[in-house]
Amino acid sequence: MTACDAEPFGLAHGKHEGIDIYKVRELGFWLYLCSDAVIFSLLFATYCIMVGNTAGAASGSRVFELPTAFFETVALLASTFTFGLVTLSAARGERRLTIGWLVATFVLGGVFVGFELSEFVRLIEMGAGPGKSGFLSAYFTLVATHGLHVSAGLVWITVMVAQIMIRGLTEPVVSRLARLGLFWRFLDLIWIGIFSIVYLPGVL
Amino acid sequence: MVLPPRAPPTLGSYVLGLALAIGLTAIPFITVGLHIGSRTQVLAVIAVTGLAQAIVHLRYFFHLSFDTSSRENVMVLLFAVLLIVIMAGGTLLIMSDLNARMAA
Repeated sequence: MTACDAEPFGLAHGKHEGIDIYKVRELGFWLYLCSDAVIFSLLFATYCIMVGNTAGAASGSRVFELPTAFFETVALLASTFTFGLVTLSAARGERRLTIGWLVATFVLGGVFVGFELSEFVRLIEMGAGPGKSGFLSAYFTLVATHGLHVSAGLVWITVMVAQIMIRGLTEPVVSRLARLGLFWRFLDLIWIGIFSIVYLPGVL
Repeated sequence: MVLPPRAPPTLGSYVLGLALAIGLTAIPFITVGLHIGSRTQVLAVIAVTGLAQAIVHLRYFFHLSFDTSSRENVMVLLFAVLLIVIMAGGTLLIMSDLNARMAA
């Protein structure tokens, strides 16, 4: 992996030619993430088309609250940072620290999902549920798809904590941890699109 | 976009990425919250800071660059961007064109 880069030119050649199964798995997971990005881009496009179709129901400036979007952004960004600390701890083989930062990431991700669920409940209670207009359908589809991804990430974090506790930081476990890291960072990247396209223009 | 050679992730790179991301998040939220500038200006600020933050994330959190160890990943990403431009951009173009024709 990174150790190969440090070797003199030529000596590392054989290693680069050989198949590194974990590199292949990471590339395969990257393919999945890019296809997921295409799905999200189409949900974004649908939202952009539907944003004006409020059918007499609530528009974005009436239903969105800037503080909620801000706290969700802070929670997700902080969790991306704590996952960086997971990666660093795992690379140094520090098992307890790795688990600790994973738990911190889980808590921040849980706070994010909690904010999102409370916002959905608030909207539905004020009569702005997903069935009210094209705008609200597109909004709930886009944001809830992202929220479901984050929830799946929370399950995955739980599984990884169990694997580290039972098996330790073995090569397959660290490799899975790296792919979970890619997934988690990807979700923060999608969230940048959500607050830039949905919430910020919505409250204007 | 030519990025510097890939470095192994360090605490410094994550802290720098976090600081840049916080700044690029704060700017659009403050602009919108305090109603600074016209609607077009605010939307431009949101677009520029959003794109900049996406690049910061790819550089400092994903550690993507154009060296040999992540070239395939960058190629796949560029192909996905091409698909997104064709599919999402095409959707927006066709639907806005239809909207203009129906409204006219």
